[in-house]
Amino acid sequence: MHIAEGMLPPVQCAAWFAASAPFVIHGSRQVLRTVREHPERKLLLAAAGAFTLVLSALKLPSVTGSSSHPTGTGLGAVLFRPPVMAFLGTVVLLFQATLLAHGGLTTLGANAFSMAIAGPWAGYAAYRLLGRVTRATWPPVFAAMAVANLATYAVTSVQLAIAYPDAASGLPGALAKFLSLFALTQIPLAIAEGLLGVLLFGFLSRAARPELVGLGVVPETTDA
Amino acid sequence: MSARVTAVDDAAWAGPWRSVAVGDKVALSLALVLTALLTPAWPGSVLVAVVAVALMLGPARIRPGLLAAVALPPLAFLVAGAAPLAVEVQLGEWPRVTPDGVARAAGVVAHGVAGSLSVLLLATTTPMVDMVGWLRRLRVPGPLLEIAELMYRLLFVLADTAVALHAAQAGRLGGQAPLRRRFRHAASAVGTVALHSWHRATRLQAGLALRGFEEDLPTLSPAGRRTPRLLIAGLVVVAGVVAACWAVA
Repeated sequence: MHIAEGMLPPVQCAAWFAASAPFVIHGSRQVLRTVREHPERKLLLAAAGAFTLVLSALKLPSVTGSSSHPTGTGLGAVLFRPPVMAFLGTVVLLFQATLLAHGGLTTLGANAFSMAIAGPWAGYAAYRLLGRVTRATWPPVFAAMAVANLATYAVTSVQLAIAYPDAASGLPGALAKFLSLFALTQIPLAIAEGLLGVLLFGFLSRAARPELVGLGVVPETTDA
Repeated sequence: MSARVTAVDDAAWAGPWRSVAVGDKVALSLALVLTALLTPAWPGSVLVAVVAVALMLGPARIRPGLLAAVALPPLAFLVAGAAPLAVEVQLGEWPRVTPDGVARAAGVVAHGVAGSLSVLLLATTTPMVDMVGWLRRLRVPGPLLEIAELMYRLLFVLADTAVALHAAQAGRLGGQAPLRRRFRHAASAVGTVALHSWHRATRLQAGLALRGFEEDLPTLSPAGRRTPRLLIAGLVVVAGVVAACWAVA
């Protein structure tokens, strides 16, 4: 869930913009360098951004009969690396804010920090760490998707707790309140997104091996 | 999502404010967003919300049905998202709703509604293509804007593909398949959308390369007419809201 327009105090809006800006600028430079070295990847990056946006339209089956949707930032971080996702994720958030009023302009910095920066970096770190421990493909992919999802919502909880400390129990109480409320939906959703990521990665490994090799995600010759 | 985005885009293309300079519309929208954020919920945010709705339904001629369809889902999210603010928690006690908490949640909802409507004023009057053209004139690096513009264009194609895939799967499965199989189908649907977008991007790249597209992709973008009256009206509204807040305080 993105923090909606008007939900953060002005000073905190500015602080989150300042915190996100270096990552987004670094990501933009990375994208510019990629496009300069590989002009053919411009459209691939655009397709990846559009794909991230469309992911939110695809519903995930849920055990309760209800449905949820994935965020896709973990997969994006594995395929395109976190700096690129910082730029693409911010553009996605900007489109969602202006076209769907989902998120907001004044909260763009905070949302970019949670969804386009913290989520992808945490997911990618989990992917690389588990990749060193095991040779199997599925544990790192599962961890990347699930951790990116959970990290996004953990950071969002921290942002909301800083903005709205509980009247009785202060920041810790507010953090516990927001984390526990998010946990009801996000822990099952993160597990579901992790499972979906494993199946999706398997599908792409079979159906789009040349593209994955081109991105450097899988080696040219492998039996994984 | 696709239908809502298309409806907003159609309204922006067809509306009378399409010809207004993008910079003027951005200035007006941002002025309202910041006024909603910086003034007290009552009367500041309430007045901003009223002004934004009046501008959309009045001079911008946005259909009330479209405005309701676009605005209601995010506003419902806002109310649901602000509800926990009304609850107070303490170790060893049950969470309880307090009058201060309710007042704080109501204030947040008012700020959020006013801000969201102010952003929608820009979205329903300015096509994304015009916005990109405006950013290009502000010297934002061309390749970044092209990626953003191409993302926007591919969005409609991919959203249609995703909806068609979802409908086809729902028709085949009838919602009755075991959970494991539904997950497998969801993964193949997401993968198919990814492949579709990659292949389409590759074909588009090849087509553009054949036409000599190497670095920049120049497109025509109307400059729009400057409207000092709109800016003056915006300033008057902001000053009026601030004055009303001051009078109430």
